[in-house]
Amino acid sequence: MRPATSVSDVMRVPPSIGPTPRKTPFVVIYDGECRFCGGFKAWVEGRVSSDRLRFVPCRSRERALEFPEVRESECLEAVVIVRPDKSIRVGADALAELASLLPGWGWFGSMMRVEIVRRFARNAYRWFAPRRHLVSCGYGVCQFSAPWFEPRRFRRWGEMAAAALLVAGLAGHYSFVLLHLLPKNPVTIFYGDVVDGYVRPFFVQNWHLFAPTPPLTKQSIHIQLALRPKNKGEVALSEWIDITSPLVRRLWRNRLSPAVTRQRTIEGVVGDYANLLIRWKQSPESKLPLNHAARRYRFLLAAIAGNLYSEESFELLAVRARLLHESAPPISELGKVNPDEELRSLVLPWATPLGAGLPPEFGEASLETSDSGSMR
Amino acid sequence: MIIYCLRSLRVMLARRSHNRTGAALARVGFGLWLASYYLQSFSILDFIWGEHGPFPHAEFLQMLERTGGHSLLTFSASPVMLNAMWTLGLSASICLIFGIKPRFAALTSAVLLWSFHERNPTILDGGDNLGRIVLMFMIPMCTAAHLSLRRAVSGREISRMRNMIHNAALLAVTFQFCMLYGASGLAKANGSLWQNGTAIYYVLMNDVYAHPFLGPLFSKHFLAITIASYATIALQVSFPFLVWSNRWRIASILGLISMHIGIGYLMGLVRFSLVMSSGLAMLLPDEFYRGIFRAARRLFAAPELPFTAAAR
Repeated sequence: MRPATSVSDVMRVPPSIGPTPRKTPFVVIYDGECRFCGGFKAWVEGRVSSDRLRFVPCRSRERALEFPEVRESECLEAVVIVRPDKSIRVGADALAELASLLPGWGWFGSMMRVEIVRRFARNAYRWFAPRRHLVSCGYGVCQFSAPWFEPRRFRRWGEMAAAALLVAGLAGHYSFVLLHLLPKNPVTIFYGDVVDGYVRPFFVQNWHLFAPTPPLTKQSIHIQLALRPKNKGEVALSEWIDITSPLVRRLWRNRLSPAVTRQRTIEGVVGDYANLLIRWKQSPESKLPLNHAARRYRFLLAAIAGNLYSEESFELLAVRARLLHESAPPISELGKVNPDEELRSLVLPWATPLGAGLPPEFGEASLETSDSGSMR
Repeated sequence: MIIYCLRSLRVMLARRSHNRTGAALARVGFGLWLASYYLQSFSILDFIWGEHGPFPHAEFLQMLERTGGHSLLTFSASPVMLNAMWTLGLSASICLIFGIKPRFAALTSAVLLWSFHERNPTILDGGDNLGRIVLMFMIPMCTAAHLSLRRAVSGREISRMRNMIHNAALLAVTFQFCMLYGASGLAKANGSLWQNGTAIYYVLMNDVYAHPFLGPLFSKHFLAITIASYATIALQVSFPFLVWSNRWRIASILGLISMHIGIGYLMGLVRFSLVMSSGLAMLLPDEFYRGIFRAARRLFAAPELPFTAAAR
């Protein structure tokens, strides 16, 4: 029996009741002469504790004694990981194993285990491993160095390629935009979907800007309210109330006032509904988003009408709008006492503020179905 | 030949970032344009984008479903959400004006502007259409070199790759303006009223687009109307060609900026003119702004007093 030589020997306790033995670490066998591998080792060591991971150079006595099953030629060709259960992972698989040990890199390890990624990674590793000597790392920076590599030349060609790519991208983009802006032509007839698919929704554009014909008429919008007194009197129709002129006056007092957006909203919604109704009248079979336009018309009129009568005294039954188009006198008649001016009026259907059916005295027109909308 | 072209292209794009002063001016102009958009809507938020107008949330969702559009305002019908988006939009526009994190501000502005445009498309004009496209190109540009509280890049050279991206975006904006004026000019040239030089008369007869005092006055001057109509077509049609010429670029752009100032004043389309002029200001070279700055300094320099010279 060996005599006790130190305190620790004397105090030695049986393993079953002492502290848990240290876990066997993963062992990475790497090419110690490769500067890229050395840089990579330093990077990994900074992220994982030494009792989890141990690095052993390939050409070392330690490797030969501890891991004789890993041949030198093998570990010079690809990195090898010996797991605690003595199973071995090589190359890209070893990197996947290593990634799952690094905090924050587990996702990379899991991704590398997906079959298609694993195949790609193995091939990429096989391509890179013999070329790893061309990359040298030190002080956290890796550089590519090969006898045939001239950084300035590469940068020049890289910049030329990037410039060519950018310009080609712009040329492609604006070819689509140009086709989108051009009138119908053979390309847009046959490939209209492709052009539209590219341009919509982010690059849709329309640059008519008062062309080919500027607005030839002054348009004003009037609304009329059908009210019933709360004391159950007769239904009364209000006068036509001009809602455009006060807005236009306010808009000219201050061109950045809210009147601008308010006027555009009113004109847009009423004009859209009127145009759709006219088109629908011309061809009742055509599929037009008339119901949507009618709903917006109803919401708009309900919002405007709310400020025009006293809710305490009246109940709002219905409301409708009228578009008044006053054509400008031709330039040849300017200065005449009675210039030749035309006035056209377009009365749109009644709309009920809450979307309820119209009372019988307003006719059969119901905005929800809109198909029976009347125009005068 | 191809190699020669590629080399020239590389030199043009990578050596330095062009028009940095113009880009900074455009950034400020776009910031003002966006701020005016949000402030103009403040008192009627509920009418134009909220539940008490023609586009309540349910209607808006149906509209997007039909058009296939996208908007951040789809997430909630709550007025809190609307107010939060409005505040964010206004803050981003203020950041653009002062050049605080301009790239992030441009990105945020582009996304929010898009969302608000989708919410109510009836209030938009050509300026809004151009603004949201150019804003996308402004994201990668270097716009903080001047007129910026945080002059992040003015003191040092920026990398060649950043130069390339900036210049490519600038090129994209130039192409965009070529498309705009080319399409608009050709459409005007096809219109009979533009051909006979009376189009501007009819525009000025519309009380929405005519200055209440100057509109009727100007519409009686037939010579001025005819010249203005033809000059508009000439300026717009020629722009896609002249903008590539070093000799004519400045004249063409200044002509168009003057036209937009006229539109802003006479027709009252202030926001439209602001965004168009800001975009055009981006296309003017740095040398032009340096020249103006030097001329202004000479003009406003304190005159040297005779006795100071004698005393020396």
